[in-house]
Amino acid sequence: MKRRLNLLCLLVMLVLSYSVFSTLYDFGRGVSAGLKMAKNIKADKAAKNDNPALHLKLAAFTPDNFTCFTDSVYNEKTSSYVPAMYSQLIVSVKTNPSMCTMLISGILSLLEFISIALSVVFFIRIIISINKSDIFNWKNVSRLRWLGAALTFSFTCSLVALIISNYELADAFALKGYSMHLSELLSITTLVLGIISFIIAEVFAIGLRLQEEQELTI
Amino acid sequence: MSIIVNLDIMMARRKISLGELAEKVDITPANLSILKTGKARAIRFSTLEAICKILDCQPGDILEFRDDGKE
Repeated sequence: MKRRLNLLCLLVMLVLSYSVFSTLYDFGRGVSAGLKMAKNIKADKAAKNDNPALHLKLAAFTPDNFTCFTDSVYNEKTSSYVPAMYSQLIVSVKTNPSMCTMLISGILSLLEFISIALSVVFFIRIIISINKSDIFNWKNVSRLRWLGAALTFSFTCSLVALIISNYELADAFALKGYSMHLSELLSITTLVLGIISFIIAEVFAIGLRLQEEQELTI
Repeated sequence: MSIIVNLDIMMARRKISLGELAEKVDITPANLSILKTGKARAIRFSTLEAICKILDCQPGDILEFRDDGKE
């Protein structure tokens, strides 16, 4: 059973590592593109304010009418245009964020990163404890609750940051035939994992109380 | 509300020690001590029967109900 548990944990860590690796890869590409852009701006100072890459925003849309295709994209396979609907776009739009919103977004990103790191630490501690055959104890109940809290807090930070970003973008950008919305950009996986962690913590707590009662039955 | 265990009173009346009673009832002294100090959450009828037999008393002599709200 422990071997199965360790295999499952290894799977979770592999999936997480893949996610981290792909994020780091995209981050690296972004940094590399940013450095190239900085070199170009240094060479040509007039290009500084015109570069669209400086104002990239991710936006999600829902078509107002699902039966009417008002847009099309060029299909290279058939060398023709095919009807299309936008779901998510990266657009270059100049918004005017206030100092306050920029600061809040920055703090939220940092808090999100810290809470994700904490949740990984709690998860590893729980697995180590289980491997030491010290499974049903109040420390693990506490760790599961903290894990749930960290994941839920991380989701809250990402939600608030997204709301702020979307609010700024909605002031500066609109697409005919579409309405902007958040649900496509928001991943509720973190929230669901947090709630599941809370549920498992309560199940552990109930089990521990039953165990204590059984032990104190003479 | 709480159940008070007056096992120590009955043991003193019958002049029997904890170890002796534990041996006769066939439970460990540690468990009997948990019962005596009121830390037990539950008691089996078989254990209560054995204690009453050894101490020659009624369950009401060992267990007392006290309603904390009325005190």
